[in-house]
Amino acid sequence: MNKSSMDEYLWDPDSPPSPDVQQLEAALARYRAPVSTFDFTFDRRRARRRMFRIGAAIAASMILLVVGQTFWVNRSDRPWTVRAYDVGRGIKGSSAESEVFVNGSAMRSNTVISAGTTVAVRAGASARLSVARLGDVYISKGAQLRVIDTNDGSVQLALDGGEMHARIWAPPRVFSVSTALGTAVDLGCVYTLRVVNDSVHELEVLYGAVELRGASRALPIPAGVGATLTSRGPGLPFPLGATREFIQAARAFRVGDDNTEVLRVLRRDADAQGTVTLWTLLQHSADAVPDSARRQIVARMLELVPAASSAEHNAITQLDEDALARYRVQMEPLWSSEPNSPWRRFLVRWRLVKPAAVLQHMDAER
Amino acid sequence: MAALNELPERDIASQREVVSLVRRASTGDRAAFGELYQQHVRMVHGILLANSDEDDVRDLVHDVFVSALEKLHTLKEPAAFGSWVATIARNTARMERRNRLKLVPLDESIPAAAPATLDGPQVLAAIRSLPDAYRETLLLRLVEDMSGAEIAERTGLALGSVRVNLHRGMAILRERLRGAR
Repeated sequence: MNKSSMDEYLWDPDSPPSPDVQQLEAALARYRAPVSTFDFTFDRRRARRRMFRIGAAIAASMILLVVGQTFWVNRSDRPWTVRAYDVGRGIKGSSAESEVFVNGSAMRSNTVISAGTTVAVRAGASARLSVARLGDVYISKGAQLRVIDTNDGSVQLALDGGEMHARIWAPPRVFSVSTALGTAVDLGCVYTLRVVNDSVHELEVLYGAVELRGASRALPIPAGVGATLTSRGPGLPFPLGATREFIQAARAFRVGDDNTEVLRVLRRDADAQGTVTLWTLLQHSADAVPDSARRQIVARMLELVPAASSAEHNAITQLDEDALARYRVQMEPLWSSEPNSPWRRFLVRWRLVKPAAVLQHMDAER
Repeated sequence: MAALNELPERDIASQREVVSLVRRASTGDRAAFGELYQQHVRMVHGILLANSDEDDVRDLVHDVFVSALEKLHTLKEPAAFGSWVATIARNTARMERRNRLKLVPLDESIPAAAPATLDGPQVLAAIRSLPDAYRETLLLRLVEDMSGAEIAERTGLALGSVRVNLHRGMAILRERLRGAR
């Protein structure tokens, strides 16, 4: 086979043909776009959305009837109420009443938890806390959760151990959870926060977004993305559905260390959503990520997400700040795995559906 | 392989035509938008074929251009119409995958048992298992019969990038097809 003639035919189909390439073309001919004209009279998406809107309206009406009896607008000046109930029905399985404790004493059902109180569960048990009209928090794996404050304007909790899963529908920044290493500020979402050990805590955002703060830095974490929190602050964010090697590399990145191998794996295994990790790398100083590494990172990002034009491509490869800022705007929608359809967002919020990639990651971790 | 400086330059006249068509289409000129459709439908079809279930591609092509028509007034750089509608196509494919109740990532493996001669579904599966950049470029060439220069012009990619994608993508594809036999 003449490699040069294959390359030329691959580049220009009007060149002398290469039998190898022609064989592939013949095999794929059935998939070619048919000759067509654009139909201005039909919008398939509107027809589909109409059906979803009718279904969503019916479902929303039914749920509002049920929810409206338990959650109602209270404009009094009393603090938000944190209530632990449904003891025995945590995230997974059930737990005996004596396995949940309030300030060290066994908890009764429907107990109101006030500021300064600690709720704890034994390893293997779980409990659900209802945070006023803001959402639910589930604790498990030997968790210890303190209620720091429940002012009318905010609810602040502290996770001292174990794992918590939050489902919050409050306005942004009303609900926050601190650990010894930092704070997760809710921006309207569903997420899991986990104390792995004294020096490593983990956040996984399933829906919405969380601002992860620590060591004088704050990092927004979108849906379908996780991050580790250490004494140095938030680590590199990573897609929850990324390869195990990619996630390990993101966790292993340390400013000041030799990150050559880490950067190689991140570039190699990144997909479009993984550009959130690569972009965050670029925000580090030149000491942490030297120029030569930045250019390699940018080149990989452009392979995954082509620039809007060749002029933009050139400016981005030159690390032009304005071009990179525009490029970020282009990439950002790819970072969240949140459903685009309002109907599907509604289902996720009510725990009916989760992204398969997130479930796969959570199952793998277990 | 030809040196990069021997490659033909981008067709400036064709870019000016796209700018003119976009501006006319933005004012409601259906003939102009129809022409944009004709010029870019193969690219959109190829990108969707690379990123979606093949049974959905035809409907998704229509969705992409309806979306482009609705948002055309937001396109600040008319000359970038090609890369802009390519991004819409990729986003549409991504949202369609997420909107399915069972979300399954694109199959990264090729069939263990392969026929002796090249089989369409087998070749398509092999191409779809390639990294994103190679996958799309190869499908645009091998399925949609677009030249390298045309791929670069429509998608906004640099000529050199397209040539590298075709060359490397073909090398990996040949290895995978050889390994499957």
